[in-house]
Amino acid sequence: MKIVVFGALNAGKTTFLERASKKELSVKGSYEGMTTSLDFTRLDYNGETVYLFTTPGHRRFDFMWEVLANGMRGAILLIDSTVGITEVDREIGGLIESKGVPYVVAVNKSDLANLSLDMVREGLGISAKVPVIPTSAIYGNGVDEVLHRLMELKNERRGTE
Amino acid sequence: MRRQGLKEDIEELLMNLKEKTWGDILGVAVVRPDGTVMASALPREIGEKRFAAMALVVLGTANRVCDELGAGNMVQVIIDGSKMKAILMSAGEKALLAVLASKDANVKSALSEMKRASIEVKKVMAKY
Repeated sequence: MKIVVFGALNAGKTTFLERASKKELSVKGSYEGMTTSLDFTRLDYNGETVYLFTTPGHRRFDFMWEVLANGMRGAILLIDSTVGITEVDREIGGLIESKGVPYVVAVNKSDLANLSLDMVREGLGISAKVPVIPTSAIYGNGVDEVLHRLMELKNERRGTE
Repeated sequence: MRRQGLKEDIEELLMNLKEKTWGDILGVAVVRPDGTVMASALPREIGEKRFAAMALVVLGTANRVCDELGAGNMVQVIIDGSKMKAILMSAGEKALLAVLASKDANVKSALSEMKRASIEVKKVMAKY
């Protein structure tokens, strides 16, 4: 199953991927900390193989958002809580919504800032059904919960299909 | 006399590359590893920034594929379109060379000139 981690520049997508897979990526598609192609890892979630991708966050590479969204079965939108909701976040949120896949919003860097989850929900204009979870990818806090909630959503949807 | 800078030196190299390939090469750009353009000579209808960002993503992904497959070092990427070709290769660690070639271009000759140019780009960049 393909899951894509979206987010603006420097939101912590690559670190999130590393924490989720419990290993450091051997090769990162990055230059000076900025992802310029894509990061990819594979993990096992309760016997299901999950292919986890991250997108480049810089608007310069926005064409990759659509490319990587192709065929995804779930998404994670990472928000940088030290920055707040940006236009890029809203744009990415709109793209994910348009794909009709289950997704979770991770409010990252919660160890550095305390961004209100209600404000995130309001800023993105998302329904109460979308889980919004504080995370700290660098310390690993909330990362497993994000994956768990996403897999739950996916399974719930599968049950109703 | 105007003092030459890095951009001007690279532009000169790109013009030479276009001239040497007798019309096979339609456009060329040198791109920094962050996806910004260092210098370019592209057809007017090609968006310089978009082309640079796409070239970087493709080359970065090809690098990743080579690594995952244990295919060794990535040498070049050739995108063979029905109307045009795009050829991408590294020019050292701090630049990549991206070329647009006509659909009937002599790829072998273009690659050979590109390899020469990429070495020159590397040398010029080391001066600054």
